[in-house]
Amino acid sequence: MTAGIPGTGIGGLFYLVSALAMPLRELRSRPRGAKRGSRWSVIAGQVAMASGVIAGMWATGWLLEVALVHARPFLPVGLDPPPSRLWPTATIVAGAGVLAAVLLGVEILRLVIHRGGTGARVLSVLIVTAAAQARVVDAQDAPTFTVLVGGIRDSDRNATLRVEGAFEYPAAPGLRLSAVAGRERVASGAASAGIDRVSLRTAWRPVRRFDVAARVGATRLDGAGGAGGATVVTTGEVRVRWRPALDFRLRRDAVTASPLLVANRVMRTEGRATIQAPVAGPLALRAIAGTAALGSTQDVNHRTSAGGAVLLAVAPAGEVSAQFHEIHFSHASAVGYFAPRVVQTAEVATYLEYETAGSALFVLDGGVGVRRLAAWGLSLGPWGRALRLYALIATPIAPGRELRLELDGEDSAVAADVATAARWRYGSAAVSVRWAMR
Amino acid sequence: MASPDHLFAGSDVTVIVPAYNEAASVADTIRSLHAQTAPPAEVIVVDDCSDDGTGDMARALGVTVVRPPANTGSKAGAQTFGLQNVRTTLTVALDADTVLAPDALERLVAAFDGPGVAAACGFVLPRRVRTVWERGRYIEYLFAFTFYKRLQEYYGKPLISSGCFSMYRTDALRAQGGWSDRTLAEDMDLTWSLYQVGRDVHFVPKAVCYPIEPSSFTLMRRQLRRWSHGFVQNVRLHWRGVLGVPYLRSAVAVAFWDASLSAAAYLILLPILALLLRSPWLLLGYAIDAPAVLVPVLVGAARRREVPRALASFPAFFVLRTVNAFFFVRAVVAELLLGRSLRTYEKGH
Repeated sequence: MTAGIPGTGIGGLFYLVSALAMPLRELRSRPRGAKRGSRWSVIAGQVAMASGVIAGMWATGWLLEVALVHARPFLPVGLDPPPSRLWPTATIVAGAGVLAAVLLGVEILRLVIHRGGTGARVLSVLIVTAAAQARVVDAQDAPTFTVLVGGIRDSDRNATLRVEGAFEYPAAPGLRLSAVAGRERVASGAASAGIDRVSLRTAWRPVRRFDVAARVGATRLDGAGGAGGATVVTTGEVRVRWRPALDFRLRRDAVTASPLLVANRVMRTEGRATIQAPVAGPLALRAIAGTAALGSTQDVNHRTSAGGAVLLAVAPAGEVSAQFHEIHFSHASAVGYFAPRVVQTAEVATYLEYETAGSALFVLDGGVGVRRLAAWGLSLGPWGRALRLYALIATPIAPGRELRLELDGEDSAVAADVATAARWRYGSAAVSVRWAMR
Repeated sequence: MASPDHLFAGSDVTVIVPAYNEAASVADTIRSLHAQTAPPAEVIVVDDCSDDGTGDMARALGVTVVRPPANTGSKAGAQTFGLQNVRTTLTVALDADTVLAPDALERLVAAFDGPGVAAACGFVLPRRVRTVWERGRYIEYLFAFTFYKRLQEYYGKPLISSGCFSMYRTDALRAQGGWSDRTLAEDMDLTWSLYQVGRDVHFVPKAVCYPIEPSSFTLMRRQLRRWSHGFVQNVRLHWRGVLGVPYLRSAVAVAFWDASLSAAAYLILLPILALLLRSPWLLLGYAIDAPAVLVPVLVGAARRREVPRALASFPAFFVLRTVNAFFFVRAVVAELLLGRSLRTYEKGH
């Protein structure tokens, strides 16, 4: 049998490289004896064949070019052929990139799984450091792969397509390490920008109520409309939670909701703390405070936020709350996000988690309320609606495999957070498959 | 008798032929064994409870016939049943629809030139090249065995010691418990298991065998279902162990990529992109690599003086490739995403 599909994909490229590497390998290994001559004859044959394949590919490109040039006058309108060298070149470059990524991925996986050799020791040291001195041992939980595809669209006609892959490894009981890589494309009209993200993450949960999550990574931002040089920025996050009493979060990320924000390199560095205290029975109070620096190529803006909530626990994993939030910006902005002087929000919110006997999980986080803002130099305006909804459905589709669907939406007369316009509506959906490797 | 250069001879070989209702082809297989330049010590036909007289036909040709008390349910089961009767150092597994070139056994025996060698396999070519499916398979084999498999042999890791014709060191085979039916590709399972215990496998291009390949879509569908699910099952079963075997891990990763994402892109992405971008030129992607495939095919065909047959069969390759892609994508989705593992061994050549 032939695994894989001959001629398609990266197999052909892999074996071409294998063939062309044969002489180098042979010179390095220098076998002796009678077999040496026959080995060189095999090598000559395979290298000649590989050269023939390359010549065949080149000839195809050349013939295609000639054929397209001569066919152009006879083609119907609108059926103009592409630049003839574009596809072969793009295919080879993309194929080589994918092949390199697959081979590199295999080697990294080998280092992680087998943990042998110098590279593995280096990786182990990194893992141990990241894991805050936790010893790396085999955990009962299996490593998992997650592939996510999602999209966002807002009322400002910004559309984002997101693809992400994650590998998560249970390094020790309560400790999971993961590597995440993703690609986004945000477009608005004719403008668009690509965003590549990679990050290493660790999640440590030594006891049921306490967890620490950390992330460090890099984000590559395209130039405006694909022009100009790309920029690589560092990103990261630390979050400490003692549920439900304390939630402390520090993070730094690129704001990529529109091509303009990407072009202006808007970065958000934010600290946020939430404290919750029980009052009586199912009743509790929550206080939220945060500050963020919004840096860009043109300026640095500051956003401070404060809020409070009265919560009523209605189920083991459910609550209803009445909340009030206020946000201040230090000045207006022209780099692509909406920054009024003050934004106030009052809402009734609900959070529910429900897990079925079959391990399907449903999460609902919604809010219905009102919002108003004060533009620069003006007092607070009238209240307008503010609706938001987040839903998560995670369901096992087979042993060790889980399908997740996340939906998020907001519809507000005025925008809070870092939105691109005053009147703000957006929706996002993401579907991911996570499977355990046993 | 062993020549000075060879550690073993035909007299060190027992051939196991698993057969379930193979009356139409088993006689040719046995005759090709009788015609070997290095005849085996014994030929054991495992008549897996056939009801078409396969056992009688084999017995009439002078070979040993054994019959399990009930149908074993798979080729692996029948072969392992036959293994208990083997008393020679080397064991050959040969499909009951496969005939050998006269020197095939002699050439495979020569590959066992060291204690580390546990298995050896030969060049596979369809015996009949008439229908579109047989022609497609003919080109696929010419390409793979002329180009891919020789490279794998050079790097010391042929991906599979082919199930239709392979020779094994009997003790290595017994150490693995024979052929396992835990996957639908017992040959791949055994080959990867041998690598993981540090044994060697060789590909001998001059040891040629000729199986009957599926001649219709119905038969091809059964075979491709078995092969595609078997491949995915083996990746799932062996991925940790394979990661420790140099070159094999890369070859398997590349094969898995091509069998899953590349195949999906080939089947789905290309036409969708052509529609969305309104560029029918993208559909050239289905055949743009034709010259790259044709070069190894013509080299292999020229060595066998079959260039006209190869050229006439070449278009069929693209039909089979598309069908292949469909079955591999389906197997990946069923086995890995939906958890619907195929367990029933469906005979179909």
